[in-house]
Amino acid sequence: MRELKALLRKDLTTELRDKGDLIVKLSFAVAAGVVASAAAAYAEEPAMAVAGALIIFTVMTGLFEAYSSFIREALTGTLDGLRAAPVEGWLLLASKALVSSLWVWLELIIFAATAAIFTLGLNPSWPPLLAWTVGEAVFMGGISSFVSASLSYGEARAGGVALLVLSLSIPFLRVSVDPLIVSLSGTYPSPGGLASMSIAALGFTAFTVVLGGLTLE
Amino acid sequence: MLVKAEDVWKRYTIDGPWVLQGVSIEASPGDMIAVVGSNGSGKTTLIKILAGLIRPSRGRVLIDGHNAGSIEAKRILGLVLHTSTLYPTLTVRENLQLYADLYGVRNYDPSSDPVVETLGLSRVLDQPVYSLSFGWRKRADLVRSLLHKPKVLLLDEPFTGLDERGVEDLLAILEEHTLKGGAVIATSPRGSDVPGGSFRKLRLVNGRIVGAE
Repeated sequence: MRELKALLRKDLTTELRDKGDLIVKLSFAVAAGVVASAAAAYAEEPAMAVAGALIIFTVMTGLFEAYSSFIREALTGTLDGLRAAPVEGWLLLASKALVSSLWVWLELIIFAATAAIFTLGLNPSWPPLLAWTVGEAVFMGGISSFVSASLSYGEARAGGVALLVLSLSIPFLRVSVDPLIVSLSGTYPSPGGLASMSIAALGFTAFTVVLGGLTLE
Repeated sequence: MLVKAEDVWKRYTIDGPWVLQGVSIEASPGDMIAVVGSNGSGKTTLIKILAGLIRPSRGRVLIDGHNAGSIEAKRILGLVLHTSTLYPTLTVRENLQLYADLYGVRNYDPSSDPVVETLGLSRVLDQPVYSLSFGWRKRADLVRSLLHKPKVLLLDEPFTGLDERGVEDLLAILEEHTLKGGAVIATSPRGSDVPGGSFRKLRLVNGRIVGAE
């Protein structure tokens, strides 16, 4: 696990030192939250409006992460150094997936907190909503890292990233909509809904880490 | 035999031109080989195939008996590409520490690495890589490639961008490496850039080895 710790330290440090990227990500979360909040104020069911915006926002964060992980490393040449090192591909992917998940989660929390300013009844610290953001972040972190690894050297990455992120995330997003709407309405989702979302998130992510790791070897 | 590349062919697309055409190279302990070829002759592709970063379309590469690209082969390879593989926002020290961890080098301290000393990198260890000139980055890349004491060094255009002193220092390190039983395969766009008489020069033209210089 020494390698994973070193990779995590590297991925976190390089992300934090890239100030431009950091500011864009966080500003986007605030701006999207404000827009969603303003739209929700006119909706008959504010929870539904915020839910839709949150799902779209999640996909956008996944797209950002896909472009900024392995693809960026391939463009700058650092990915060749990593691939030449005696490290299993799944470890490279696991590190990126963990750091991407952390970013997606942070952005979802900022979005929810900003949206809550103008949306009555929306509580970003509501435990079921927090649990939903964790599941969503784990899933998007895995998918975006997998897509980024798969297309890191490909000519098709310009359009391929969006297409792959969207097509791979739609089945999961469908599973996660019901627990989200219930959470936003201030009640507890059914254990079955949360369980299927958690199983789907972990299953998808484990699958993409293993498969994406193979593409890096 | 430390490196054995047999009849290596490569093209990047199914109907694209052949970048390498039946290249065979062998390197034993103590060998210093320079592959000399103009831009687009296939030098970088060859180095990347030897390093296991790219799979050949045909042929095979063995590194000390292990398939190129395997974890076992990667452990005994040191690689410097023409484009730096160091993280620009990390310091030289942080980059070296990262790779020491990835190669399983215990208790590595860049400050006491003799190669750091020889290449004069001590004073830039705590500077971020983006602030270094091309020549300094190249030196730092070289230290990174040597920190796990590899048997085989693969260097893509190592002499390009180095000043006279840098070339002398690099040559001294490579000669010491081969004296200890290692092998070096380097590339260069011009034969005149390859210093001294230590290197055996092979000419690469349009993806074919056409003879020695």
